[in-house]
Amino acid sequence: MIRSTQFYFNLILVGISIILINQSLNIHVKDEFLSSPKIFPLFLSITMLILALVILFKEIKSKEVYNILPENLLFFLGFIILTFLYIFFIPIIKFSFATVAFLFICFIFFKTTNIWKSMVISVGFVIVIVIIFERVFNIIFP
Amino acid sequence: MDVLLNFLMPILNLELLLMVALGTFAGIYVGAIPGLSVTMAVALLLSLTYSWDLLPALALIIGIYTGGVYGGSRAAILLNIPGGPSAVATTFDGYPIAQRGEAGQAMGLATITSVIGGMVGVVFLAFTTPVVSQLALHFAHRDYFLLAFMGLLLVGSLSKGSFIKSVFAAFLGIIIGLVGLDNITAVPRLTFGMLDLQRGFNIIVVILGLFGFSEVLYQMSKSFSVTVTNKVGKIVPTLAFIIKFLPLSLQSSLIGVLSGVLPGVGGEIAALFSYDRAKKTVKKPTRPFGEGAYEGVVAPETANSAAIGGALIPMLTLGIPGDAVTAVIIGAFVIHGLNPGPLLMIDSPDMFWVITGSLFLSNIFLLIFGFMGIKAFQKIVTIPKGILLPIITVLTVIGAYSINNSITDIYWMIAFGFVGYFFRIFGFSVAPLVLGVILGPLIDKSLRASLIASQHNFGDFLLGFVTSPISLVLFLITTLAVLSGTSPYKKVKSFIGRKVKLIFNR
Repeated sequence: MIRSTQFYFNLILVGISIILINQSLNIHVKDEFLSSPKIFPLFLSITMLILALVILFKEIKSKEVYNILPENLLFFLGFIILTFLYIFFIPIIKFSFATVAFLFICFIFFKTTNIWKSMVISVGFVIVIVIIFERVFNIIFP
Repeated sequence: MDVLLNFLMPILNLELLLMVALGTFAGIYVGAIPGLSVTMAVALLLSLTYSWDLLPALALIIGIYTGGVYGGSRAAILLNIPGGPSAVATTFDGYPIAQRGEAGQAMGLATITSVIGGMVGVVFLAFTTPVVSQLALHFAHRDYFLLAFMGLLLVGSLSKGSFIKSVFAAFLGIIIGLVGLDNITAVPRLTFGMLDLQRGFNIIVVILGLFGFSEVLYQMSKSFSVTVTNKVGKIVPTLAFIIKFLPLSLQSSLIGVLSGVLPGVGGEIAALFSYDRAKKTVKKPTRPFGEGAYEGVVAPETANSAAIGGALIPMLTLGIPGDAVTAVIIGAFVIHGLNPGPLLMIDSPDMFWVITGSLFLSNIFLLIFGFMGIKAFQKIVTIPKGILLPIITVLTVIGAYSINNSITDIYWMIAFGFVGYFFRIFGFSVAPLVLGVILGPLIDKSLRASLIASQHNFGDFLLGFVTSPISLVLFLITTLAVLSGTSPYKKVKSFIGRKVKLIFNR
């Protein structure tokens, strides 16, 4: 199972290289081919394809196995979902509210500290961040 | 006498003194926060200091610049996340040192060597400005191509594990760096028809993803019972310890200054070059490189600080920025009605000496605040993983957003985070990828510009490498660097070494 994940990852690299070759071939050439914007990406993507194939065949022969499963799958997947939800909600419910909610839920989810401490840290951190970034660095949060 | 007075003005004038102090202090913390780049801070300061007099504004900017470049080492050592691109090389050995509970010693050493590098930069800035800038003025596109290509050869020493995987990562990095409108013909490249991609990927977004968010993901995938805490330990290094690394510091300072002088080759390349040089020249490191060698912290930290002085040389004398920060500083000059270039040295030499004095003073403050800040920064590493990682995520999100005020950039940062994470778990090095992103556009532009200069004649292009003295020297160095990694070269080298030993023993 783990071995096949490695194989599929290397196949993805081969696929990416082929897509990049296709993209490089589609670059419009205005003047001389030798100094055109196409030549360098094309050279790189073809070389990448060759390297990806070498990696693929080398690892088929190799007995090296990479452990890709996170030690705590629930925490890992939960964190990724929370992060995407956080970014999704930033433009909808304002940055400060989204950040307080994200931090608070993360602290509770990871069982790091109790509800009250989590609330204080989340709110306190966001206040500091807003003061520093908005007042000092003029960053306008969404 | 006038020169000395102008040089001492930032020390004698209380307003300038305070501005340099404030800038250095703030710079350390701006640089230490992953995602907050020095370039961004300096650019933001331009809008804040628009109505100020030029000298206090420059004093503040120089302070931020010095503090910011140094500050990047803090997060690099403690969290394995470089505070900025110039601290990428510091992570290689800085973090392993921190994992051994010696973070304080590494940060103390980084402070002292940064000051040494900074001071060497000041000396070079003051004394070699006309000579070095004249040389850099004669560099052709072909020479920049060779320099960038030499930089790419660092892949060999940056790779952990498979070399083929590292080369693949470096090439992918170059491809990422090429995305967007071609800077010679304005033709869209590798944009997949997406309008958003025409402006290309911002280097900060890529670095935040590959080093910041991927580190968060990696730490998330590990057990939560272990917190990201490394004992800081002793902070002030002994005199003997400092003296031990003095030759390496001086060597790295030289690399830093020379790298800084060359346009486009900023502190990050200086640090990587210097790290690579240290790896090749230090015979008996304190520990193997990559496993917590102090030399691996000394070399990049000295070089990136020395590069500041170097980067200011062509900016002040030729109007050519040495790196991204100096490009922004040129903006400050223009805003205040001055044109950096050869005429600046003739019309307002006082400006040059005030800047040099500010840089000198900022290094003094770096020594003071550098040691003071470590204890305060120590608290960050005692925060449990469950609190620290979401906070770092928020900082990376802010960092990615603040560059262009774009939510799309946050998604790209996350995407690069996943790339970095999967690369890491499947045995690919991330550092060559970043190296590719940094050097890719320079290689592409200089290669094609030199081909255009050769009238698209490949024969003339190749001939150019031997007909120009600068190109010839660079070409020979590059060839030697390529050959030095091959086994026939190593065999010949050891054969000659044996023969020489034999002759001397007779």
